[in-house]
Amino acid sequence: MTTITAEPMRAVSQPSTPPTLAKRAGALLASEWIKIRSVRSTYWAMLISIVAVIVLDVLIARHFVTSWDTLPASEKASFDPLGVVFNGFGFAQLAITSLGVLVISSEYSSGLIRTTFSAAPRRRAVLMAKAAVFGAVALVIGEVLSFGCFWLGQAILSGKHLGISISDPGALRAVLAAGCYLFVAGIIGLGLGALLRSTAGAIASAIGLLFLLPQVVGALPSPWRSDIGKFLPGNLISQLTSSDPSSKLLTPGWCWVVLIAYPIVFLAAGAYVISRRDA
Amino acid sequence: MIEATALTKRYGGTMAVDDLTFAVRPGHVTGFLGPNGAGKSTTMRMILGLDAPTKGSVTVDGHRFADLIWPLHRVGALLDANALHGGRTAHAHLSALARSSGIGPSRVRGVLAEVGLSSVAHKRVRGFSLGMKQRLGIAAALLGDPGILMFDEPVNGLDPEGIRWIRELFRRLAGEGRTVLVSSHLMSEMALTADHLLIIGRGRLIADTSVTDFVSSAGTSRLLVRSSSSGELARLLLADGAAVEPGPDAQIVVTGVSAEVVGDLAAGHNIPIYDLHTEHASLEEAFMTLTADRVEFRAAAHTPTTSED
Repeated sequence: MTTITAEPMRAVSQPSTPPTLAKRAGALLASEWIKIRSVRSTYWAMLISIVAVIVLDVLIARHFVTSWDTLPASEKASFDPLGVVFNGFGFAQLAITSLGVLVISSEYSSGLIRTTFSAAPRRRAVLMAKAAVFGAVALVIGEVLSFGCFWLGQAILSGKHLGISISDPGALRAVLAAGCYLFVAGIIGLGLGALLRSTAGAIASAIGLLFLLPQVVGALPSPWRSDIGKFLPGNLISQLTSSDPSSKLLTPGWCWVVLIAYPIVFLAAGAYVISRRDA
Repeated sequence: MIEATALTKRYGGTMAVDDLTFAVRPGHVTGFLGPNGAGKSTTMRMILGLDAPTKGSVTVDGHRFADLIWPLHRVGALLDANALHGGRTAHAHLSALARSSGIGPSRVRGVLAEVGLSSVAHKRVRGFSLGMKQRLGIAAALLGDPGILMFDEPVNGLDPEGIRWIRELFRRLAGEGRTVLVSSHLMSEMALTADHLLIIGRGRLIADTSVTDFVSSAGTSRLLVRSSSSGELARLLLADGAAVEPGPDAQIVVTGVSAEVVGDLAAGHNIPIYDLHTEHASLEEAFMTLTADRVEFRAAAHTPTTSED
């Protein structure tokens, strides 16, 4: 049935020298970049984010401009020319968080993760490469959107001289923070995806954390409401973007620290379980 | 070379893989054979470092898989042809995998041509048939030009032309000195594809043998004899060193002697013989006999199984 060969020859084409750490990291990043570019969900998430943010920005800004003269004084007093332009970010947040979940959960649900890990056995490095590539995409979309909607919104508001400039106090910080929030929410999604592996479970958990938890906390009696609430991601952003000083419970510096701690904690949790469980 | 030592995997109370020790050698196509649920896929996942063994260990070329850098150059595997993102094209799927191990775009085009998928390289894999997905999975396994190749049930979904192609591919890869491990639950397929067999049932190693040896041991034919004096004939045959068992329809089943011996013996003692015929056991039967008590799930009534899952 078989012919006996004298000495089986080696057919292996190992790279002659082991690749450097930088080369290996670059290879993983390039691989994840191909993956994120080659699926439609990426483009859907971007499209939903852009459309929702721009449309709501324009509609709401125009509403204030056209109805300003007839608005009651109390509403005029509470008008926030900075926060008003970021109304569509809730939709963008949902879309980008779901994309973050899918970046890893789609590999688990299809079984592709086994192919990925049998090419790159260092699983934490794979997760970090995913986080870096997807995080960069989310951050760029977020910042482009927040700067774009700031200019657009302020251009409309300036029709009634309601607008502010990026050089006004707190404006630049608010615009940067709003954009950064898509990155934070997206990485929370990625971490949840690595933790739970199920797309539905991770998206539901992300919605619970980012959208429902603030409502539950908001229904608590004060002082708990603000003591707990001020640490929730959405409220950290409000504190950074609002021009209303009474809403600021934490200093901007602390807001940034807590905000950045969220993706780190979720990613660390995902990294902890990813190499401990069977793939 | 793949070497497993006392490899064991337990899921809760179930022993999926139970104390497996074996070596898969280069230059051969080794068939990894066992009924569904025997532990073949679990063993392959442990070889790839995807599942951690409960006990024991397994190495590839003497290394733990997890210690390998860019293992695609050493081990190529096809575990599940459906493990794809349906929205990605064949080319994008392979490119992402290739780039993670420093493999360039020309090699991606090369393996796509080798498995015959060049014309659909830029089509989304959602529309691929199972056979096309198997070819894509084989292309992925070949990407790093590895010395060790593993395929889990690669024949599923292939058409006859594809099956012939894949057998020739395995022979060629083994002929080039590579280690080729192919799992299947079909003995007949393995008899045509493999030259060495690892047979497992319920996670335990049942046989580690060359196909040639297995065929010759399975080839023991038996004689079915019907006679009016089968008791006397049986006594004479036993005295002659044959093994005799009662068979169906008042026949006796004789093994260990030829039909000529039985005929001459009967004639010499004036025993009339009504029927004497030789029955050859098929490979599939030999496999079934070997694994009969090691089958995880068995149908209540005897029904021929045609496909996996």
